Amino acid sequence: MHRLLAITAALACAISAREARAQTPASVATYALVIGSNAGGAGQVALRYAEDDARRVAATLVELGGYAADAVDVVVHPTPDAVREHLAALGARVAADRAAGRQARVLFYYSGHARSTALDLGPDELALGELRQRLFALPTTLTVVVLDACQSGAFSRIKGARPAADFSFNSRQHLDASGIAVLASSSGSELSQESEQLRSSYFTHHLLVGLRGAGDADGDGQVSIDEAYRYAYHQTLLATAGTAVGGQHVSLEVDLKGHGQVPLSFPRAATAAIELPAALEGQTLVEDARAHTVLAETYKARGASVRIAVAPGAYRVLVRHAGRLARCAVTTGAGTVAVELARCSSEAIVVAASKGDAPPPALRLELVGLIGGERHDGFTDTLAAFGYQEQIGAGAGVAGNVLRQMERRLWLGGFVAYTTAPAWTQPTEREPLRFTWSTAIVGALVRGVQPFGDHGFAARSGVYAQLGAGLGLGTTTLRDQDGVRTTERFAGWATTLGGGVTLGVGRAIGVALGYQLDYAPVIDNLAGDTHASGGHRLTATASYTY
Amino acid sequence: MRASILVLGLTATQLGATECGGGITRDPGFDLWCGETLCAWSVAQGDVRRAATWHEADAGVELLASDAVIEQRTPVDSRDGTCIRFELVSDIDESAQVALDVDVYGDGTVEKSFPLPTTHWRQASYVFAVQAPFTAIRFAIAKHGPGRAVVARMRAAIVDTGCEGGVALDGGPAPLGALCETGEDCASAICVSASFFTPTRCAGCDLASAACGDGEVCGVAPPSLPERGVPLACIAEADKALGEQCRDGAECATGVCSAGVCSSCAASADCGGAACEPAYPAGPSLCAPGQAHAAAGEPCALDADCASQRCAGPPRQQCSDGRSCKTDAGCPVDAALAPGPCTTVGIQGGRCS
Repeated sequence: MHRLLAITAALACAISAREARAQTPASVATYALVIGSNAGGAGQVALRYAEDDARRVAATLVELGGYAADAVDVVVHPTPDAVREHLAALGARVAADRAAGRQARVLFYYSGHARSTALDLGPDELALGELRQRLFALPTTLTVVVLDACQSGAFSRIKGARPAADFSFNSRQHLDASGIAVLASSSGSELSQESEQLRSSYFTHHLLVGLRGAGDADGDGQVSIDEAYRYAYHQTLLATAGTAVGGQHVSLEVDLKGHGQVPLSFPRAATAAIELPAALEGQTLVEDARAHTVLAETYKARGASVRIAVAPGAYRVLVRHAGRLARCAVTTGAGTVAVELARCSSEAIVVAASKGDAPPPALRLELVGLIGGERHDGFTDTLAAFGYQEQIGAGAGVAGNVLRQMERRLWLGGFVAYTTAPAWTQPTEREPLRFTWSTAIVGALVRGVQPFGDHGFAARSGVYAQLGAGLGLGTTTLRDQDGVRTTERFAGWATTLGGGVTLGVGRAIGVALGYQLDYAPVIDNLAGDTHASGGHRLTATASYTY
Repeated sequence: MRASILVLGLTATQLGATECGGGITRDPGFDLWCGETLCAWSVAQGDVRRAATWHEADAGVELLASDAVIEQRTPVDSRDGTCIRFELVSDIDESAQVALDVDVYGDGTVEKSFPLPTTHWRQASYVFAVQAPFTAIRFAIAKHGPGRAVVARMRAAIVDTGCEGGVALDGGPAPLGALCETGEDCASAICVSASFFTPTRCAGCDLASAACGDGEVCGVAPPSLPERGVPLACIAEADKALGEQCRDGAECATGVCSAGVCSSCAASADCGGAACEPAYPAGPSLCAPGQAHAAAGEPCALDADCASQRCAGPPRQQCSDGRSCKTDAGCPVDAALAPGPCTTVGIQGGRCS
C-alpha cells in the first residue's frame, strides 16, 4: 500500500515536473547543486534540519523549478573535498553545454553551519573565498546562490555584489539576465535559526513556501527570485522576531546584466494546489497530514487568495486569528482545492519555536519534596555493630532546581538539595545515644524530557530522566548519654539520578512525580567507613516556568 | 507461715532481673563513666581509660599496660535460659592478647576463655551453653601484652538457638543461695525450697531435719552475692539484733521474728493495747512506733520511737528486698540491671537513750 502511494505521488510529481520544465527554454540547461550539512564544527551544536532542508529544496526544484531530476545533485554531510568534486563535475557539465551552444543556469544551495569566512563542514571548513572563486569560474549564463547559514550575508559582501535591482522580463528563448545572484538567509553578522515546529530552518521553509506559490505576488504563476526574496524576507523576519536570537534578515545581492526576470519556480504548473481564499486571514500553517511535516507557514492577509502548490494528498490547514485556531482538513487531487472555512473546527494551539544554535528562553523553577529510605552500607553496619538501632521512619528532604530549556527535550541547570536520614539510637541508663545526619548537595543538573505530544497539555507533559552532580556537604550530630552534642562536617562529591513523569497543569505551573537515587559518599567515621548518603527516593515536584 | 512469706520475698527479687531487651550485661557500650572509671564494670586488675571508638564522642574502654582486666557479674540464671551469645566490637592490635573469660557463679573459677581476634572495629560473636541449673555469670575481659586494646561494646544475651550440639559449661558445685534441682548440684549437698512457690536453692541446713549443732538454729544466713538468694544455714541461736532478717524467733535476741524481721512484738496483745506495727517498711515491729512511746533502754528502730527522741545503735542498711548491705553493689539489680539501692532505713538493735 505504501509503495502504491509512493508510486502515485511520484507519478504526480513527474507530471508536475514535466510541465514545469516546459516553462524553461530548451536552449537553457538548468543544474542545481544542493548541499546540506548538519555537522557542527568546534563549539557548534549540530543542526537538525539542514540536510532535510537540502532534500526538500531539491525536491521542490524538480517539482516546481523546471529542473530535471538528474540535473539536481543533492549532497549531504560532505567534506570540503566532496564539495570541490561536485563543483568540478558541475563545471564539466556546464562546459559541455556551452560547447554545444547552450546557455546554462546553475542554482547552488547550501544549508549548514558557516562563519563570516568559511562554510563549516563538521571539523573541516571551506573558505568562502574559494567557494566564490569556484562558483564564479562556472561558465554559466546565470548563477543563483542560496545560502542558509549563519552570517551567510558575508558571502556577497566579500564578493562585492550590489543590491538587487528590479528585474523586468525573462525571455522564454534565452536568458535575458546574466550574472550572479546571492540569496542569503541572514546578514553578515546574524545567526540563522531553525524551528523545532517547522522541522526546518526558518529561511528555507519560507523560501520553499514562497516558491510553492505564496510568493507569487503578481499572480503570473511563477515566482521570481525577487518575489521569493521579498516573501522570504518578510516571513523569516516575522517568524524570528520573537525568538531569543532575534530577527533574521534575509538578504539578496545581485551582479546581473540584462533586464529579464529570474524565475525560480512555476507553481502554476503544479498538478495540485491548495487555495487560501480571499476571506481567510491569519497565521496559516499547511501540514502534510500523513508525514506530519509543515509544508507552508505564512501570514495570509484578507483580500486576495493565495495558491500553494502541493503534491496530491491529505493536508491540514491551521489558521490562527484573533485568539482562535481553525483546523481544516484538505484533500487535494488534480487541480486546486480551496479551504472551506465553514467546515473547519476550532481549537487551541501552541506554537513552539527554537533554534539549533540558540537556547529557547524557558526558565523553570522547581520545588521538590523527597522521601525514601536511607542507604545501608558499611557505615550503617558499623552503627548496628556498636548497638545503634535505626529509628522507624524514612529519610526526607527538599530540593530546589533552576533549569533552562536548551532545546525542546533538553534542560540544564543547577540544584540544591537537603535531606535528613532517620536517627540511629542506642539506649543507655542515662540519655540514649542519638546519631543523626543530613546531607546537602549543590550541583549541576541535566534533564532530558520526552513530551507526550506537540500541543497543549501533551506538549507540556512527558517523561523525564535527569542526572546531577556536584558538591555534597554532610553534617553529623551525636548526642551522648549526658546530652552533650558533637557535630562534625564533611564534604565530597555527590551525584543524583532520577526520572519520572511531569505534567503541565497550566501554561506555567507543572507538577511531577518521580524516582530519584542519590549517592553522596561524604560522611566518614573513625572505623574507616564512608557512608554514601542517599538512597531510593520518591519525589514530588511543583514547578513554575516562565 | 511467717517464714514462708519471708523466703518468697527474697527469691522474688531475683526474678526478671535479666529482662532488658534480651541483654544480660549492663552498659554494653561502656557509656557509663563515673569520673575516670567505669560505673557498671569493675576494674579487677591494671588500669583503663576512656577511648574514642567509631566516633570521638562514643567512648569505649582501653585496657592499659600489659595486664588489665575488667569484669561484670550478670544476674542471669538458668531460669532465663542456658544458651548465651555475646557480641564484642573491639580494636585489638596484634601485640595484644585479649580474652573474654566466662566464670559461672562468679566464684573466681573461669570455666571458659574465648581469645578475641585481632581486629579493627569489627564485631566478633560467640555462642556457648551453660549447664543448668546455674546462678549468675561473671564476664571478664583480660588483656595481656603491650599492644592497644580498646573494647567498644560487649553485649551478652540469652538466645534460643546456636548451642545445639555444643558442650555446656559446667560451673561445678553450686554455692549457697544458688539455684539447684537436687542436692547433688550443691556444694552443701542440700537443695531445699523454702515454700511451694519458691525455687529450690542450695542451703547449709535442712529445715526438715534441723541438723544444726547445739546453740545453733537453721535460719537466715548473711547474704553473699546479690545474684543469689539469701541462704539458709546453721547460725547462732538468739544472736540477731532488732531489725535483722530472720526465719524464726529462735534466731533473734528478742525471741520474736515478725514478718521476717527480728522484732520486739508480734501482735498488739504484746503491747498492752498499743499497736504493734513495723517501724518502717520491711522493718522490725515495735509497740506504737514513731510515737515517742519507748522509754530509755527500750527497743527502738528510729529516733521517733523514743520519748527522748534518741535511738542509739548502728545504722541499718538494707536493700529493697530487706537483705542487709553496705553498698549498692550488694543489692539485687533492677529491671535495667542497675544494682541497689542500698539505703539506711533505721537503727539496727537500737535502744532508746
